[in-house]
Amino acid sequence: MNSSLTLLLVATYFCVRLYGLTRRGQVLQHRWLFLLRSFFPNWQFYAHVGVSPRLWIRLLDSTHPGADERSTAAVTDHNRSPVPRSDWALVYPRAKRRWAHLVHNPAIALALYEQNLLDHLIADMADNDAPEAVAHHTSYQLLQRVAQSHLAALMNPADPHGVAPATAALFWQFCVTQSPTGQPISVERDAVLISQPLPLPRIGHE
Amino acid sequence: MSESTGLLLRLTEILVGISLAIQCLENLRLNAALSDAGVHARAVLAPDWRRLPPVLRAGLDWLYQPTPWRVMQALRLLAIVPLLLGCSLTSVVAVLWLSQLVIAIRWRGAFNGGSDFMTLTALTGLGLGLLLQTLGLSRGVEFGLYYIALHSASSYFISGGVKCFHKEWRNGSALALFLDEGVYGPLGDDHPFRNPTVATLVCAAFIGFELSVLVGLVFTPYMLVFCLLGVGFHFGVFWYLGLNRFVWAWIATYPSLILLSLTLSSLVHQSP
Repeated sequence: MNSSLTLLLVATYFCVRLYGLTRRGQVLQHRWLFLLRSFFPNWQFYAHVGVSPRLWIRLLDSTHPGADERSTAAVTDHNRSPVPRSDWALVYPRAKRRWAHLVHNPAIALALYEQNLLDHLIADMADNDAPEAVAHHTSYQLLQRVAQSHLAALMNPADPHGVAPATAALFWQFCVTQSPTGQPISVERDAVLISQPLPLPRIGHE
Repeated sequence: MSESTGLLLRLTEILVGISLAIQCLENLRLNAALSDAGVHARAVLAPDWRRLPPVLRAGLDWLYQPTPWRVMQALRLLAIVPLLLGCSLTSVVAVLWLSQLVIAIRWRGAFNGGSDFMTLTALTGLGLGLLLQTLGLSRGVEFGLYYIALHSASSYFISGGVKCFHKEWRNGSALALFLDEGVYGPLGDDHPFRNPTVATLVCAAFIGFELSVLVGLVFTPYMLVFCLLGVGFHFGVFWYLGLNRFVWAWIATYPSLILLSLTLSSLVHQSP
């Protein structure tokens, strides 16, 4: 009787989990629960082929009237929109495969975490009625910093996406696109968020 | 505690210790990104913490300062040693469990998704088992390992089950779509996984492997095969997607899976 009951309990557990697969999962929206989501794994790895968010950055021209003022407010005026100085460059982790990564892979782990921030931002955008409110979210602030950390590569002529000379640019902006997984991406068509022009930080090159 | 349970507990401790050591050494390399001048500076996280109770917020804010953060990492490395030697204590596991949670919160809940979840699950199971044993429950350790095993089995079962509901996995197209997005990708134009027949077979094999964990739970010889296949499966995930922590986090749960399988197999034999 005891062994039958144990087997029944285990079988019931997996039946409940199976039933759960047919139900739409709850999203952890509360800030506390979001921070404690390690306790609520859903285990649905790579299950759904949906849309893939991507992060893009570009430089903006400083030659436009007014753009020499290093103030974001000055160039957000619709009449004085800055001119793109570079094409949109994709920020996406790619690395050369190494056996050592099996036991030590911090850079890629960090890059994958930063990609996940895009999913967090998309979720935050879905929760907000006012588009401008999303800029106050942590996910937005972090993504802006992630995007900014890739500016050095964009301004390096030796980089595949680099533009030269970059000294003329004084502003930059980032963009988030969302497109079906595996489909070609068009920033113009798939953009779901484009940041305000941001003053270009000082970036030194060796 | 039976001899087999003791052996599987030792193995779990050692494998969890290896998994944690890898995570700890990687975390040390991430301190620059977490510094006040780094991309993930703690000042940016303030909106997340605004609703936390003041005491907890103050505590976390203190812990995330450079010196306490480094001391906590050093303590973690020290606490891993008894695990690697297979002689952990409840207090040592408690330190690791708590610091694992603190680190997860620093990364807004999780740094490496599933591997964080499974590591926390393994530490919870180990800690729970050791605590119950300390409190005098002779089978406490077994219950702790069962907890780990149920989560591990669920992870495979749910991951395989949910794929059955998506046509991209049933027709094999999901394979190339996901692998093309891997950090080491995209797949070459002539890669075998681009062949629709091969891709369909591989997807079916993945789903079959993941769902077959239930067979392993009631048939121990297959559970041993499942664990061997699992090592290859997770290595493949690392090879294409760069998820090295997943390999170690899941392998650490295999002794628990074997223990649960031994228990359930014997129950099946006893059942009329």
